[in-house]
Amino acid sequence: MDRPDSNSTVRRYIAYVSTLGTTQLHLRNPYVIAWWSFSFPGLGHLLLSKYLRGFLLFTWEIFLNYKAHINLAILYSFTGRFEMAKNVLDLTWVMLYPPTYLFAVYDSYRTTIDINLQYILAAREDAEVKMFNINSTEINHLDKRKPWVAAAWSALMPGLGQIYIHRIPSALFSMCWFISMVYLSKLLPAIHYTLMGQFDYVKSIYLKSIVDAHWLLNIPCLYFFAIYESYVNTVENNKLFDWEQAKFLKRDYQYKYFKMPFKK
Amino acid sequence: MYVISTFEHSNYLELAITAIQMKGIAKENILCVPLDKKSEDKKLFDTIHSADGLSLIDFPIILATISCLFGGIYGFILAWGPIMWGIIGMCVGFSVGLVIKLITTRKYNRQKKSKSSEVVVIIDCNDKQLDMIKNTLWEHNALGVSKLSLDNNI
Repeated sequence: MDRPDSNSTVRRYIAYVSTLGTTQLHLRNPYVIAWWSFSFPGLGHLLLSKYLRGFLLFTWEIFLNYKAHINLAILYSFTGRFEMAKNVLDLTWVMLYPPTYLFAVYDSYRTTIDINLQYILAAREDAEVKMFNINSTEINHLDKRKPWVAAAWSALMPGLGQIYIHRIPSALFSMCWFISMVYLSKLLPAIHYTLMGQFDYVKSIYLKSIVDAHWLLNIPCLYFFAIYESYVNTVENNKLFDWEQAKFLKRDYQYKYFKMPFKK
Repeated sequence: MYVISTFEHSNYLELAITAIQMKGIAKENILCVPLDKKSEDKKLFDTIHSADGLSLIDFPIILATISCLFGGIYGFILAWGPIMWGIIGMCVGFSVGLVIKLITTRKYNRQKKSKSSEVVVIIDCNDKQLDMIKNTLWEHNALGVSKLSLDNNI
């Protein structure tokens, strides 16, 4: 039994340690979550551990942005080439973009507030959480880990920090998309030419540029998201460990006839 | 005779307790008092709109993402290209964000300690077991250990 029985009196509990990862309720700032959804739809939901809708919204954005050339229009607009921006947008697709984009921001904000309320109620109910789980494919348990180690691994390769703290769906997501984006944007050759000082190969206004600007502009959001997510969740998992251990000690190591040291 | 010690929450604490039990101290003679943490209590009663103690990194990383993005965009028309300006943007954004965050939360940071006692463990034992218990506690990363004997020093 990893979770309270369906017929138990427990209504809410603050965490579930499954073999795929530790899913946890904790207080989150709705503006921060909404900001991540604003930077890339889906990321806010992933921070809430609502993976399926996160994946859906993220994939939706990748697809529609690619079809409608949103990123290129952003690039041209911010560099003052407004005619190019108008021409690059694909009328067949572009108006599908705003509703879902705004929904992603709105929904992640709203959901954060709802989940915060659920957390407060669950924390007051103070139900026990199973801290250890093992099955034929994975082992997961609550433990103390270092937030900066998680962040550093995700900075080296998005997804590794997530593996460090055992968030398998999130690790899969970060790794697959980061590798795809690095390949499609030609990031590594671009870094190579930048280090060689051959900047003309990197800048898209020259014909000999090897960079794909559309995909390159997707990378910062995903990259920093992976660092942030692994860091934040390590902190929260550590707090959960403390809470669970304190609960265990109070239950098992506070014998009511313990002889307290009194002078006779 | 009592041995009083303090620990941080960790797996070593449970290892220490179980090791002492295996050496013959009954579970009933071990008392653990997990201390409530001052800062966490305060955070729990924050409004739902405020961050909960992990906020040191969220503002810097948001600023880093924005700056990296705009560094990349303007890099396409600036001399050094998008990679260089993206990285410059990222570093500047993160540093500026961190400085702002540190200044605005300095009041709270001062209260932070590197290591804090989170659990007090009191063990009721006899003279022969004293050294064994003290050693076991020290070996399992106790923060402090002391014996307490009220009979001798009246």
